Amino acid sequence: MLSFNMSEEQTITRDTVARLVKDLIIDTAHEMDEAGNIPEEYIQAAWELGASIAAIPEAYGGYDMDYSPMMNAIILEELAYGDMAFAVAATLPSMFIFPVYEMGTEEQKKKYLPLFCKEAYTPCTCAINEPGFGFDPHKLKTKAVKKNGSYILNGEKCFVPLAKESSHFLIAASCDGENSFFIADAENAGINIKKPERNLGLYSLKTYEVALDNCEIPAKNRLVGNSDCNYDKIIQKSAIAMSAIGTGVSRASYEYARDYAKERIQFGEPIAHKQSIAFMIAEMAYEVEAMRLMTWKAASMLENGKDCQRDSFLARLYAGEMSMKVTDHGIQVLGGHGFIREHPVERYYRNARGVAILHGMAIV
Amino acid sequence: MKIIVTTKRVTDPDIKVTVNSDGTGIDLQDMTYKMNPFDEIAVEEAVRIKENSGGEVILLSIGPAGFQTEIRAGLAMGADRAIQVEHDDYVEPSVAARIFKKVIERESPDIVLMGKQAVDDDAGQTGQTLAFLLGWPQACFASEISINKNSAVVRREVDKGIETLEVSLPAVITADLRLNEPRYPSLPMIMKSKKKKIDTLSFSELAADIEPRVRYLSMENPMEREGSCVLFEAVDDLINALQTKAGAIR
Amino acid sequence: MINLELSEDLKQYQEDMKVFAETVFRPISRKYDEAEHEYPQELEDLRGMKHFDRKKKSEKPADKSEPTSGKANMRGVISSEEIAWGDPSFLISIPNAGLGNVALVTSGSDEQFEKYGDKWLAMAITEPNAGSDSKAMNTTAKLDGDDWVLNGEKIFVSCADRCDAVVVMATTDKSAGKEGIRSFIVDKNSPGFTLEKLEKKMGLRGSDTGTFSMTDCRIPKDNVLGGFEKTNKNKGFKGTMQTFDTSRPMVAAMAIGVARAALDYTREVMAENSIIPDYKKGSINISSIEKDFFLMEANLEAARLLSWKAAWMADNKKPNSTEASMAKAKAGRQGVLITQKCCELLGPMGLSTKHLAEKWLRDVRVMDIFEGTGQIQHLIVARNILELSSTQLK
Repeated sequence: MLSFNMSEEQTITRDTVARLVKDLIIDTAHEMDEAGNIPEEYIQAAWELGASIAAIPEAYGGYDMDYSPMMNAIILEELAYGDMAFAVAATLPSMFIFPVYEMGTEEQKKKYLPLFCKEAYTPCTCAINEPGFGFDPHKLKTKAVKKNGSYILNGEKCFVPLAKESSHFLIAASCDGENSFFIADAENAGINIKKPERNLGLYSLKTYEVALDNCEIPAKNRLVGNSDCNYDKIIQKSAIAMSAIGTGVSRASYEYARDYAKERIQFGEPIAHKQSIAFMIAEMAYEVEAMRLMTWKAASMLENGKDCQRDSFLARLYAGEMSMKVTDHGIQVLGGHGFIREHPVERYYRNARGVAILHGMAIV
Repeated sequence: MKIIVTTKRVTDPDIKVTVNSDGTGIDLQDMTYKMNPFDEIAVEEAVRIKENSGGEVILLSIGPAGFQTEIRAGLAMGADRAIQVEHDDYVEPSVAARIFKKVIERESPDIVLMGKQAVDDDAGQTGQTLAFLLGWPQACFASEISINKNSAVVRREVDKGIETLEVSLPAVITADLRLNEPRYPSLPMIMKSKKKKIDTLSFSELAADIEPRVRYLSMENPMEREGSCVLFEAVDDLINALQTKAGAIR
Repeated sequence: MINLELSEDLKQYQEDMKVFAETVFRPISRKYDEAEHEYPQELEDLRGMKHFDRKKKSEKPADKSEPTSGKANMRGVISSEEIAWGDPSFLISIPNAGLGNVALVTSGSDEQFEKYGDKWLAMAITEPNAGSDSKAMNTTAKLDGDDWVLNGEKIFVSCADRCDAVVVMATTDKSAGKEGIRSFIVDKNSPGFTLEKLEKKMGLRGSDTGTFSMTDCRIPKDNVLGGFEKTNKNKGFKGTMQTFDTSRPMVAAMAIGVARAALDYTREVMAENSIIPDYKKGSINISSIEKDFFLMEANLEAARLLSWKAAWMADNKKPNSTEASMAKAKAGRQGVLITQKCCELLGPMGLSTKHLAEKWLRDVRVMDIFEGTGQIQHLIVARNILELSSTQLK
């Protein structure tokens, strides 16, 4: 039935994540950004919420609960409201776990899922993005060629989060024109992790360029998938996740600007009393709401077992456009102060640029 | 150890409240609700006691029928079951204590753990009143609790230092802010709480004396702050202003 | 549990409305665009339909804890979008379903609903010097014995010629500001009530818009909407504002419907020219036309979901004035921008009267204006989220 109301569990989950973010992240996100690092205990605290492994069967170390993309979207928005880099880092193992669980063979699931489905956060990552102009996750330049019971991978990957810290990778490559994932051990020869990237945003998330030079992966490590879950579906789910993250970042900027405008006195009254400011804030408010609804619509389709190619595409496109618009307004409301790093709005803006560009950073 | 924890559904402490147009209370339109933060601490403590020495944790709440999200949040933290006494309107501390007494007599727990006060009306009376009505010892504003076989040792932060006292069980203990930091319930715990039982009771079933002892006459918004801050370059200017303008010193 | 997919019954309703709009309204769309002020006889068949349903006010639900949730507002936004997709002027001109009828349903007494429920009621709010500023209203109502005596002028009244009666807003006490404002049901044949003229408009020509003057216009005492004695001091003005909370999402949906008509047509034309939107393409690998198209589609969907949310809240008895204004602000603006962009993409086909696109552009323009301009919507949203009064944020 059509409903815009959260269920009891959804409300409690949202409130719980919001409390965690308020306690640990909101006041420390700036320091983390400056230091280029997220303390392990924060990541562990978020991991203990159990969202990333909730839907994995107990046999593989999970909690055997119903899979709910909507719940994941709600959680991601709250985490990203605190900090986008934190949201990506804290849920990153999902980007390995979900595809392996949904597309993997029984043998692959048995071997790899228990490594990461446990109480301690154990980094593993996913390499989809590629450097250079014109990257499209449906047109991968990294190629896999079959040779003597193995696949030989060649190509360049970028924005691979926690590549150096991870023991296992999921690598997206095109094989005979078909996009696919390959499971690789970090020890595997031919995986060359370069030094940490320095990016426009997400300073506290360590990302790396990874070169694949004749990287030989056993044929049994290819994720085959089926019609229910395949490469495209993973891209759709990660698009919805990115829309949720974009909503969270934008909401953070909106709320900060809204509160600032009520406090900041110029010409003897709060700047919120001026229409030119107030209207910008009104627009931020309804665009955040619209982004969230677009995300929820796509997540509903997924949750109801419907095809969500169109809705996930539009949700992400919208979140990409609007998170830039909203976070840009956030800076403008603060004026010169918005340009100073002490206020978070400049960080929101730098981070939001990734919403339209990055793929496979999170999944619902 | 059988522990009852009382939990109150309060208006979200992070939301700025305003008095309603007829001055009878606060404006509840668009209001969101949370479990009283001090009760959250009490739930956490009870669950920890259970995790250490076994037993059962029962939540007890008075609130409107059909609104159980805040109780469910406590179950998600690890309580076993809950009792909701259904009631729509404001309940003053003495009435709450009389209602609780009836339920506690039915359940006969070893400990009643409560928040030291609710953040909506800040009355801070229910625990003490309840202990009096039950004829039980009370240890209020606990910042540390350790449980022995037939007693509890409670440390409380008071003005002159930290006081340690021992109460025989059963007893009423109320939780202060520094008692613990409540956990973040995990998603699996939240989902499991869906299956936990919430019994409902009505005022009439309990046959409690619910006659209020206090009558609320009106409510008004606090006065707008008018003070302003003036910076002086030199101490002499400040003294001068205190003498001539404020008349604070002569 | 959040679920933003329409339930099966609403999907079916949407489908039915679409067929209806396609077969009944679309074919006569151009005809009445050209024959301005002529009453479309084809609409007569709709007069008997039951447009509004409501429980008697005396039949209040007994159990407070279970608010009655209906689907009237959701059905409203769905039908508005579909019918506006067919032709928006006819949506405003459905017999016995005028804005006055909406006001009657939301604020009228049981007796008034009994008496006027099957009549066509227009709504008269705007005055030459009182547009969005309802408080500046100069039309007065004075009680004289058993009659109200009305004096003043009302402009931009939809269905002015076609309706049976008009709900007129007037002040009973100018010094009381908006609290003195009440709504009155005025029969067309009341003495002193004159239809002065019909406007010639840029669009929505299939619906008439007129000016009424009232010179010592007498109506029965009982015709004050919701009753005079019973209404508390805020009811009159607030009642109208509450009407907006249900009507704004529908007007938003109307703009969405027209823009969708333009977008659907553009999609068809693009397809004929082998441009088919592919939702798998990365934004770097699409043409400018495709990017424009996708953005329009996303904005349209965003506006639609905002209007659904506002309507759903109204159905579930949740205060929705912020959400209603959000929907109207977004949809009003995007309706215009999308239709405009489609005309641009269509090139000569977007200018010629051989096609309907140019008509949709003329029709949609007012949707960022009536029921409160986009600026007024922003003002309402801003005041609500910033918690500012109308004196703090003017």
